[in-house]
Amino acid sequence: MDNQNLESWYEEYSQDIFNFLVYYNQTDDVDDLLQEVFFKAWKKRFTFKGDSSPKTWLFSIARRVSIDSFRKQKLKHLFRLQENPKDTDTPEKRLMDKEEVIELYTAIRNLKRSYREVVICRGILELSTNETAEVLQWSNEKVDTTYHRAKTKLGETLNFRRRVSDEATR
Amino acid sequence: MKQQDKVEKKLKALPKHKMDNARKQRNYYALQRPRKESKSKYFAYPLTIFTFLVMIFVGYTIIHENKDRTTTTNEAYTNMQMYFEGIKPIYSNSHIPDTVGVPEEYHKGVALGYLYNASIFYTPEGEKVNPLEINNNINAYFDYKEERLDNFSEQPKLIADTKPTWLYLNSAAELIDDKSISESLIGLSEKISEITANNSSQHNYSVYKEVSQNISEIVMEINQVTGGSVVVYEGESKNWFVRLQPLDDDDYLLHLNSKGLEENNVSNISISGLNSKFSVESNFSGKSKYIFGDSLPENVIELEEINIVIRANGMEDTLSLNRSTEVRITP
Repeated sequence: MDNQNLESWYEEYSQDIFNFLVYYNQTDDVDDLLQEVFFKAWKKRFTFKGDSSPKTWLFSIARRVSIDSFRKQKLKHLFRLQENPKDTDTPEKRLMDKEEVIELYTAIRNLKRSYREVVICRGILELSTNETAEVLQWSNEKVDTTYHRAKTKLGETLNFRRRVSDEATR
Repeated sequence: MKQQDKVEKKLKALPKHKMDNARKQRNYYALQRPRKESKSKYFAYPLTIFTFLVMIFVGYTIIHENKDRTTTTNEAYTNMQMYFEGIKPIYSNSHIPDTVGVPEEYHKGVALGYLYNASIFYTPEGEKVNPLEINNNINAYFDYKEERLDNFSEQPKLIADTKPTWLYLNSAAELIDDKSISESLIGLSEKISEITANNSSQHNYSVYKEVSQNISEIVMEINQVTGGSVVVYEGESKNWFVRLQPLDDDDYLLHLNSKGLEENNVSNISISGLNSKFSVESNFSGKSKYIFGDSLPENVIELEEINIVIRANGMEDTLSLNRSTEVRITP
């Protein structure tokens, strides 16, 4: 990757990487991490052989940068929801009310790491099983199994919260 | 609609976080800045750079001329501490082949395990010392008078120990993606290669002492910042030694060491346990095998004991693996 490639990759993938980092790190204060991802990609450009897509390669760097950041800081950032998500542009998104989104965010935040990772990649970023396997360095089978378990867990958590909330309002 | 589909639909409908254009450009500018600046400095201000370098050189010479080399070593250790901060060691009794497929996120842990192995050393009396099991008085183990080293009887043991030490240092260096740290480890491995049966006892011991002291100090420094205690399950039967180390989430590293099988025999082995929730099937040849897996049942780490059954060559061994936080390192 030369400067020109760096620019074109940044142009093409920075929003995806930003989205990934926000969900993975549970904060939107990810500018330093975003810069580190592209800087590391530029430094390691000779190790990218094109076997995977640049996007999944950048996601895997973003994941490692995030894990390192967790370890260094030893503090989990608080999940800060954007008050006004900017691209509520699809009808589906408009249908989801804010409470539901907050509920879902909280449920995702409370998942164990492997479930959270696969939910972010498969569910939110809508990567394919293969792409997710490349990012997480898992087998395809593990991606499918873990995603299935994670969705079940999420469903149970959301149902439980709803039951508690219904009982409270009665 | 199935609950799973509902969840999936909700996930897909979550907002996509985006940077506004100004933020996107600001980040790109910040990304470009260090490289652009350094380029322009070299071309636009060569005299400034030269003067700056001369000043650094003069300052460095004045400050450091009276300091011994331990200062430099300590700085490297601080880098080591920063690099390994929060990492949990992954234990092994030998080099873990690439084919085992331990993911990159565990490489620092594997490298740390290798450094722990490399730090084991022998005294001239043949006493095996693990620096992590003793306190800070490591120097007492190297305090020998020259005349006692003339023909110390345990020299073959010490020479034999140079091989695993060399291997672990190089294996760790391969996995470490910080150039200065991996180079310092390679430097130590090159140093220990100077030990040969053809050299004098004094020379050999002096090199061995220097390298062992260095590695001991490195692991003791790192040990202050690692990620807390590590749980492993170990057990043995007449035919097997087994260590199971749970890693993050459902990941694990299983180490099998055969006491009974012939060295070149290839066998199909199957391992099961935890009320059939855990099962592994694999080929086994040689004496030792590592298996990385990602399906360890939940909450295993809370168990005090894990019972497993190993089937190989029609033989069945039942083992109880006991929970431990003190790992036997036997390189």
